[in-house]
Amino acid sequence: MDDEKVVARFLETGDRAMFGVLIERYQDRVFRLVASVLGPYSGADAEEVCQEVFLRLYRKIRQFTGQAGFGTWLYRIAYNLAIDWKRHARFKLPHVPIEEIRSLAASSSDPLEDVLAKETKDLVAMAMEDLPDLYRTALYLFYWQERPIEEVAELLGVSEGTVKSQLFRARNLLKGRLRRVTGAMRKVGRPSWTGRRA
Amino acid sequence: MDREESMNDSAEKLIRDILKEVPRPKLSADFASNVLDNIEQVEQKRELSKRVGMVMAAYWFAVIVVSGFIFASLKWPWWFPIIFIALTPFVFLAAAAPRALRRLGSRLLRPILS
Repeated sequence: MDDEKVVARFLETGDRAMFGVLIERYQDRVFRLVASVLGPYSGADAEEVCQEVFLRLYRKIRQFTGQAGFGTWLYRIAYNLAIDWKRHARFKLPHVPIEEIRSLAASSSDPLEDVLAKETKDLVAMAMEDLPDLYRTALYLFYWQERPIEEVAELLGVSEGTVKSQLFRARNLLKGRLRRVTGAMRKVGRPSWTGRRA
Repeated sequence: MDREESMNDSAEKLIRDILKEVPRPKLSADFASNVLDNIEQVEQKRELSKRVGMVMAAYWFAVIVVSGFIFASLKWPWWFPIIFIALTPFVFLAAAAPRALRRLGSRLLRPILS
């Protein structure tokens, strides 16, 4: 049974099992989209937002007119809700993810090497987080969640060509930002005892 | 153009390398049933607020009608409308009480029954 029929049946009968069908059908994709908007190490938040998405869907499902596909409509709700959540999360207290604490404990024999590697990763991670919302989400969906281009396009409600150009621009922006940061670091200079050039 | 492409490739490699180490979150197995449970609660709350709304509407209707009678008959006891206004919070509480009592009862009985 296609989505529109399931929605119509649910609206007709109010049978929650029909709504359950929609949840089962879309939960993974919505979760991937939400997790990609919120970024890495946000698993618990992503699940909470995902629940909120389906609750909102339940409240708004009568507003579904069928002009766009059901999936497109649902992904739009999920994207908007996740973006709102991310903006509000900036005002919450920061937390250190457990994975980061574990990685600190399990450091290799060369502490300097560890620090430099971590510094580079932090720089890139920060630069990625500073990207515009759409570019960052496309980047995470493609490189982190390893979704194919057509799925990224479906989740973001754009064409495949647009996703490709968003990824290209995201990489360019990232390069530019990293170049600026590393340039500034070169100006400050690294201590000679590190034995390596920046 | 080659330089541009190779730089783009290096950026791609860097992104891949970094994101490869980041664990991908997984949705819990009982996600769908949790959502359906939450929907049940939302429905109950909606039902309750509808009931409270109806009680309040009836109450204010009574206030207006009774006040109207009092005004019309010109026998205005000054404390009468004040009594109505003072009772308002208790009407809210009375509307919510059956549910709260049920919840309290089930919480008290649970350790005994289980």
